[in-house]
Amino acid sequence: MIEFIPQIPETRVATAARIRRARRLPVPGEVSGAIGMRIGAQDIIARAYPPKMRRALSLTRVIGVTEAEVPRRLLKHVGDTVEAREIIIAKPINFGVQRLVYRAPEAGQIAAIQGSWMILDLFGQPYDVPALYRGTIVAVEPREGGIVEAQGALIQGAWGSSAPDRAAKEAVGVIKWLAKEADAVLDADQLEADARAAILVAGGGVTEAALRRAEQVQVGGIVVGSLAPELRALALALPFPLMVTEGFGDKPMCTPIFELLTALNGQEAALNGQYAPRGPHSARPELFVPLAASRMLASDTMENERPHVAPRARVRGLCEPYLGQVGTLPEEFWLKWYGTESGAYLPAVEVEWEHLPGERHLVPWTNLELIG
Amino acid sequence: MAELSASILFADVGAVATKVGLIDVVAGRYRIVGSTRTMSTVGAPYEDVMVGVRQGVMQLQALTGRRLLDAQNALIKPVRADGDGVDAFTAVTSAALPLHAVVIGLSRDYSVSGAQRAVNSTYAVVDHTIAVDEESGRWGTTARDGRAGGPSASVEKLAMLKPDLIVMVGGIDGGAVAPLREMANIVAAVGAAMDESQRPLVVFAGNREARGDVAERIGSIMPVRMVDNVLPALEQLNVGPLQAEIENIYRERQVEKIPGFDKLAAWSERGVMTSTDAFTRVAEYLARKYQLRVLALDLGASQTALIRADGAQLRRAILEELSIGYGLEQLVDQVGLENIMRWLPAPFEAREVHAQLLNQAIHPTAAPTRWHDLTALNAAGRELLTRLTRVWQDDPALTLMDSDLILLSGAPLARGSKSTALLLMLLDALDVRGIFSVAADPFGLAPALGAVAVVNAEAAAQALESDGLVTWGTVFVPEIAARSGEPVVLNVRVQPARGGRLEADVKFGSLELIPLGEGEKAEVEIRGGRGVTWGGEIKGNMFKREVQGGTVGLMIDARGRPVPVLDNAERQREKIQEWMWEAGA
Repeated sequence: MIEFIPQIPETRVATAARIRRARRLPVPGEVSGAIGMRIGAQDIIARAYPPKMRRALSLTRVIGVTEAEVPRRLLKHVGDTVEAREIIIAKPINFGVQRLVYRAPEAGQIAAIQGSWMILDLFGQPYDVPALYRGTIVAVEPREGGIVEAQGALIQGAWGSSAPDRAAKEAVGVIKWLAKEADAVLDADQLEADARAAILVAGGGVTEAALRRAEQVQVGGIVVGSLAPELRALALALPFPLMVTEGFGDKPMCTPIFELLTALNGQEAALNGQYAPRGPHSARPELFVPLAASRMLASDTMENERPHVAPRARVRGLCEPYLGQVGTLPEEFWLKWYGTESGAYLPAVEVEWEHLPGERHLVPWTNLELIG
Repeated sequence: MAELSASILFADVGAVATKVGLIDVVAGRYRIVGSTRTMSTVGAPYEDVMVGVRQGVMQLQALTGRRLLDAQNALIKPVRADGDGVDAFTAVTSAALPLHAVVIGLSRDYSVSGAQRAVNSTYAVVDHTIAVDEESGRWGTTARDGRAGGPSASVEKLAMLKPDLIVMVGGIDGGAVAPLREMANIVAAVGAAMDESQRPLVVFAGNREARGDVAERIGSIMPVRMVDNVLPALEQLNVGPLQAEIENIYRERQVEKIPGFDKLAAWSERGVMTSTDAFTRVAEYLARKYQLRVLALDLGASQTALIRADGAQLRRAILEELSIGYGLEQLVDQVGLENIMRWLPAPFEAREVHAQLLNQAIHPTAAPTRWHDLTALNAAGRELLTRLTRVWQDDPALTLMDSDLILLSGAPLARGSKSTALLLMLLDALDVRGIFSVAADPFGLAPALGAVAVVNAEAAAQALESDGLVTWGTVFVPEIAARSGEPVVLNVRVQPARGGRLEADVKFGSLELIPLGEGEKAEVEIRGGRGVTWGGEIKGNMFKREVQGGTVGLMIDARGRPVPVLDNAERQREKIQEWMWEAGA
């Protein structure tokens, strides 16, 4: 028997949770939110103007000026905005009869000139950070964003299609069950025009055709139990967020998530597809449904309602053959050494799986997480 | 001289697991009296590495019956009269995210490749390289015939990135300065275009004559550090100073930002080392003490490290973002599933293998319990190791063929893979030849012991050798001329010191596992057929020597090198199955 039982990972599936989420711009910009401000999910709290493209030019190569000549040939300077086709630098040629010029290819701003090198930012679309979580701004980080506190139902996913080095994939929309069995697969013929902007839910997986159709219909996002591994690259490329609750393969959605999503059907939710599993700023995909204001608790009365290792705690398997299965720890439990099929000896605990009622199975402790 | 600490608590805070152990004197020798493994708490929802460290210490208290934390959960230090507490605490970590770097230099084959070598030996990822000599018009097309020239695609790519670090290299000391001035203008322009809060740090490791120009152009825009030239003279590569500076920057910018780092550092008088630095010390110690050429591998959940130490020289490669934990997603993308599948002994369903590897990346703490899940992970491990050894391809003088000891540490051991299965993985993926020993760090404590050596070298050495490492045995890999035509290539005679005698004929293309237990010695005589050579000090095709056994024993690998991979998938599977059977994997 092993006396001390260490912590294991957790997945939050809660009808009422209080969360705080940082909402940051990818590059510094303007923050419009203020501490204490109540905000809706789609309210913009920060905006930045990242360039669509940075044009890098050697002015020596472009029009044949030397580094020393650059200042007197320039018609525009650092910080100046330019219109498309506007001349930035000109050099007389053919005894001054003609000029060799460089024109801005599109509207933009001269970001830097160093020696004979110029960086010209071509204007892009403004980048807005919405609150996403309806709640209250509790902290502001100047030029970067803020922290939003919100209360509501929370479902964390296992994998999301929004990678940390790419534009965030988020959506606010109405939850719409389309394949309402724990293992039902969402196919293209189930996607009608009314799926536009909705957050579609399927208990099992999703077909490639359905993903492509979802892009055409402009769905808000998709939540599925599992994703075929060969569709991962497509999911990463699509513009909308996709959250997988169990993992890759053909896994049905686990009972707690299936039941909570069923209860939330038709409500407006925020889907955040971010998946950054490692490091100090790690993040998981999640679906959040805000509580009605009348049901919210005062900020200072909130308890820590996270799941804990305890008798009858609900757990979920992280590894085959129990991946995605949900069970409970017995009334009395302890860790003991367990020899696996592969020959390893690992600390394990008895679990009562919900799909195998009345039975107890030894499962390595590291292959479980708390869910609730 | 200060008194050495007798009892030392050590912690290794990884991206996935936190290991804590206690060293103390038992019967006159330093021993590891207990060690624990808990979940790391670097990320959400904890965002404090000390939660995991304290959990590990509490577990250790329960295991050893010794109080290490006081009522306020602070470390009891030094040891009290009642025996509670410890004299010292050391820590290593691999939980920080890597640095993202861009290398810009004059010559792809010289300065840029030298700088890349330095970056690859640290916790950094090269996102982009620019070499001036690579193509004409590198800086954009030139104005011609009254028409303006065009932009530079490679500089535009640099301008759109957000690197933590720009490494500038180029020129030999005393060489031309003008191209480096131009390069400094590029870097300065790119930096000036960024928001001040996002500007990278610049390290200049080029012609020292250009330092003044580089500092003048860049210094007012972003921080610049000068280090010795990576190429001070033609054919003279000097990557050490650049490597050391990048390691400093990694500590300052990434390690110290780990949530809870300040509290961890406050427990440790000697600071917090990176895990690979500490593991490198272990490899160097073994190389020096036993005069061996050591090849040390750390297959971590978030990065993979390969270290070669031979007492005189040290080389290191770190693959960030490719690993058999979090890095499995990228590994499958980069090497291709089909290359992983070729190492499987049965017709596994490709889709299931793919799903399993992706799920393992999501849950790197999980320990697969089924044989085929572990086999698939080990197949991915082979491709990872193959990719890792390619990092050194730029240095033809460096070969892995002549190692005396392979030391394996990391996640596969923690997951409980059979040692024979892991040994076969190493033999398949690493091109090591000749006669060598293999040892493993089954509890993943070796990096932490590398840091213990800073406070008490004797304690670290004794703990490592008594409790840290397990010898798997000795491996024999002859060079066999292709198509030797002889069914039997090796005649092996083993005479264990305990008595008895064993003789075996090993066929070309096969493996033979001969049991010889841990701590046992045996006289081994191997006679090779035509075309068999051993390299190194062994002349001819026959030798006789005393070797050590281990938990695996003696492994004779007569498959030839490189290990043959057949085009026919079914035949390849049969071969893999045969080899696994022969190796007891």
